[in-house]
Amino acid sequence: MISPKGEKVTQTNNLAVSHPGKPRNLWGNAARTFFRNKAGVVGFIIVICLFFIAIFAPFIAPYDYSEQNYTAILKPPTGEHLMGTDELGRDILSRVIISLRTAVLVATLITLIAGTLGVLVGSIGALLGGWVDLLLVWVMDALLTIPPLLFAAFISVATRPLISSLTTGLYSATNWAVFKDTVLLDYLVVIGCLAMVSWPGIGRIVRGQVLALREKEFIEAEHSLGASTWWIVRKHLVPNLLGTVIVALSINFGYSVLFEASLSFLGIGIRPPGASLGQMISDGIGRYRSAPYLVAMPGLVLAVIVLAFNFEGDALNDALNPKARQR
Amino acid sequence: MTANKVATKSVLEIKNLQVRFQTQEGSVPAVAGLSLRVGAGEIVGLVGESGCGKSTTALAINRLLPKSSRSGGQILLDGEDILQLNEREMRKLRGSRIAMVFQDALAALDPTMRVGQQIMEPLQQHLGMSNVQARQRALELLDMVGIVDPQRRMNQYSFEFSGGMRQRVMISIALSCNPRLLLADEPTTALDVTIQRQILNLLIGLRNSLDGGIILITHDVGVVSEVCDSVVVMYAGREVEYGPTQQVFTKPRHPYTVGLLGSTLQASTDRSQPLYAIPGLPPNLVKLPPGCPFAPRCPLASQICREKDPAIQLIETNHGVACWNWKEV
Repeated sequence: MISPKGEKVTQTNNLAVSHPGKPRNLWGNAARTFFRNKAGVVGFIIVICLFFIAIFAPFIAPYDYSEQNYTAILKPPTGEHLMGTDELGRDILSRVIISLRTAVLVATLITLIAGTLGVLVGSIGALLGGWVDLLLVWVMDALLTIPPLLFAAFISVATRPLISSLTTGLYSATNWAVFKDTVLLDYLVVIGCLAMVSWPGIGRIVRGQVLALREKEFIEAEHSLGASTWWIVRKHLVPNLLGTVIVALSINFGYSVLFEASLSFLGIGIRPPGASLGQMISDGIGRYRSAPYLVAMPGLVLAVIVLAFNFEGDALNDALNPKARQR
Repeated sequence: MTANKVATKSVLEIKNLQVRFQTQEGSVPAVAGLSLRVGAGEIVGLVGESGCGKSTTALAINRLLPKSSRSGGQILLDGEDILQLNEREMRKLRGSRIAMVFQDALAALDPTMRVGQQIMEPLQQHLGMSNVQARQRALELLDMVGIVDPQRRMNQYSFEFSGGMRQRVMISIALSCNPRLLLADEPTTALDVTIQRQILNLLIGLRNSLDGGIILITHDVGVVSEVCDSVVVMYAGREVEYGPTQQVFTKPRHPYTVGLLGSTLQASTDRSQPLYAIPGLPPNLVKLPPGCPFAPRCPLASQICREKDPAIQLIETNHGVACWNWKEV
């Protein structure tokens, strides 16, 4: 149509020179940025190890986590028991490994539930606007004003008897062993209450991001091209939102591990015979003078995990939201 | 300069367009009584300072104004009043028969989607093309707007393009479905002058090949004089002068047009004097003074100007002006 000869400008493209014919990929770019961050990589490796340990816990643990060895009670770390043994002669390393399984399982489910709820509520509010948005923001703000741990503790304590009586009732009616399992009940309560306190934070982040994206010119440009709202949401909003959501979920995961340990420490989370880092710390705290490793081992592991998630979350943020870093 | 062509068929006709925004301070008449006509193969320039209603007009044509606004009058696209269409019909029309080019192409392209994909989107949505067909057409379009090596460029992201190249991509997206009307909202403002030239040449080239029309919105009088066949000068939401570009710019009949032309640098401008500027500021649209909105800034304002708002009157063929004292200009 146009005589292109006169108009085409010869342009040098450095990118084309360095990667001839190789198109860039946003995820590849992000991965490169991510792996340039040393702390992030360390965090990432720890997170991978954590998941590996959690999945294969029973095969990795050197002893059965509940096996009591009366010949080795309160032994400090040795070659035989790398993290020592507790007052019942149980191997601490094995207990830590099983506790990690608990932590990962609980945190994964919390993050899934809180993430789904947060993304849905946040984006629905931002997209619909009006009184729906107002109502949802009120709910989220109201939940956020309550200190999360306190709120989780409250839900946990308040709902446990209810759920407990419900499950015993169900057990007597059906005779299914599932309803007699108190550890499962603990899981249910912990996951439920921590998901309840986590989703508003994610919801607010997502809402803010959707509101900001909605005003972007490329969204208006899409409208001017006749794209339907649903199309814009799927093709343009979601990909632009993904980075923020991934970072929020990653950070939420770390906090979920910490909160689960905190609840269990207080005795309202995962209780024996279930294993949890918080519970181990609380069990050992009475002997911190004579046997400090009882507290130190699970405490250190917990600290390392939370730090790893923070580093990883930071690096992810830099890699996935490059604009935010330039501020 | 291009001579005014006698357009046989009008692509777009706006008759007495009114746009009001409801705000807390009151109802703002952002566009008050705009009429214009775009013939096939014609470029119409819409000039005026910021806030005079140029972009509002563009959005009104696309029916993309916020819900707090009310539009009145008629916007006829090929004889069909698009203000009467429902949202569904309107959506079909956007991007296929009316397309828009934005000022900031970087902001107007999705940073997370490959450029080729973005060109293919309207093709698949409006024309129901398959992936392969759309890809083929996207390649043609990129080639048409003068992008070298489209095969490779298709797979790049908008941030890998330079400003001028991005604007070309925007234009290729706008052209993808062969629109009847191309709305270019300050397409060259964000570009440096050499790239501006290229983009303007591209628009001129399009005008010659397109059977539709182009509305070019700009505050740059120089751009208008170079590419537009006719021009509409806007002030405070209304049309103050319109006509063939050459005629309006050589024999302006509205004091505002005179001021606008006088405040641009030309080869003949006396460099020893500071550049002329129209004194004062555009009026607040919420409380417009009675009479002509330009009267407070007008060197020729007389008693009647402050009392009665002049209607637009035809002073020559196709040349209209809204001024009581146009004969003295």
